Amino acid sequence: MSILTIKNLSAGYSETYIVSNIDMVVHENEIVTIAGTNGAGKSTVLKAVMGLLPRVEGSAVFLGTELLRQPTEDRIRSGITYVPQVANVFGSMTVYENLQLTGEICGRPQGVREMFELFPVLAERRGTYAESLSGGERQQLAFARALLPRPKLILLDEPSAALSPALTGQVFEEVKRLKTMGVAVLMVEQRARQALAFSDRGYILDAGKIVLSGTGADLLGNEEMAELYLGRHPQPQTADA
Amino acid sequence: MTLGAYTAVASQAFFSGSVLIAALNAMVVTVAVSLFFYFWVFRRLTGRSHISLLISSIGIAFVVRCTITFFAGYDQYMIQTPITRAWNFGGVRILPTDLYVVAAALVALIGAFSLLHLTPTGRKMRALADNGDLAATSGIREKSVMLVLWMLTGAFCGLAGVLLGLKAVVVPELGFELLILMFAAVILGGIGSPVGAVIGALIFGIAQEWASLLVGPPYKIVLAFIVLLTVLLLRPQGILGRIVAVR
Repeated sequence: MSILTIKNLSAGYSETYIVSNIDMVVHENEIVTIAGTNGAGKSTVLKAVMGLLPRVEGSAVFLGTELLRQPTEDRIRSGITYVPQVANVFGSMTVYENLQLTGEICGRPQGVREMFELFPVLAERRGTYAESLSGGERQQLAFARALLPRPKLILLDEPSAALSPALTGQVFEEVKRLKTMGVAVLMVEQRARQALAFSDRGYILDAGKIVLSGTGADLLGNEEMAELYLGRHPQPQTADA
Repeated sequence: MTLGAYTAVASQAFFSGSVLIAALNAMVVTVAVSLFFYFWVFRRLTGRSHISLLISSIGIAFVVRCTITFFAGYDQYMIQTPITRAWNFGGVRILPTDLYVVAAALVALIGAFSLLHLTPTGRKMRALADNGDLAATSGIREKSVMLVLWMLTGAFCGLAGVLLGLKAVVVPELGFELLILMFAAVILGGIGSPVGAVIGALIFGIAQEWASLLVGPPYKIVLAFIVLLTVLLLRPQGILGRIVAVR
């Protein structure tokens, strides 16, 4: 069953659209990755769905509700949460305050304790200002903030941005864990090959339009297209390399 | 602040001589005026640059000052306080009014910090100040938070005006003369840090008064600004300010 249906979505900051006529579907409890070249408009799709762009046309229906007619601040109450690329936590507030605030807004103050059980490292760092957290801890806090309202769908904008390869692996494990909790994920990712490897489906954007879509395996299996839009396959390192 | 002081003077002249009632009246009027300018000007400037907001604030200060002058002229006024004997603390004589002013300022300060850190509304205000887009996608309704914020701003400005008026002559330039000093104190403490603003104001104020002893009152402001320059050279973000990365 589809939970998010995007139709003819065009969006941008000014007269010129960055993405145009995008059609996309996210089903219940699946991971969908949006990949593509730099500047293709991947993040723009998520920002348009969350109401962060001044110019948006088309339709984005989430669980029967037209999101594009709702004020940005009400969209979280429909059951959809968003984790932006870098500034995804309130840096001037402590870990506890970040979660406490989210709990107060969505009427689930008990969710703070649940998140500390789910992400034990956050419980250890509860009094630390979010701006002082490491990249991995910060992503965990961002995920916890997104999970606390018990959403049906989480939009993730490049969760591996600015992270080391080792931390990227950890973050992708967390993304997979979201699926086991019954949450669907629509994710924009620059490390597309890694992301598509565990995604149910994917869309490839180029110059603001969808050029390819299919299951993660299908997209990675199409070598010519994958090389064109997802970059070269990483070569295995040899001993003399 | 100037409006608060003038309202207190008017309240004592037309309603009651009580300083407390004058302060309450001043706060009610400044809250109303603050909300008026929020709805008329600042709500429409949401999302504009800080410079636009700053220039608008200065423009509004001129409007308020000129309106006061239109009705009250350039005459000097005083907020009347009961005549009291100074208290003697081991040779240091302090007027009770001075202590009341300090106590009221401290209560207001504690109230403001408690509100910011201990209440859901305060946390929402801090979140909005930290990252507006993230606050919106987190479900924070900016309009209702801003409404409370402007009411509080008005109330605190009204109270500050009365406290200042208790120690100074009430003239149309009362608040304007302090504006540059307040900007300097906020920059010294670190922009965006409420605790920094308090520390900055204390250092700046003490530096000024201390400078009076060394170089005389006419030049005290120069020495205070030398302190400001020295601190900013050593710590450009201010005492408690954060360095913000710009992408």
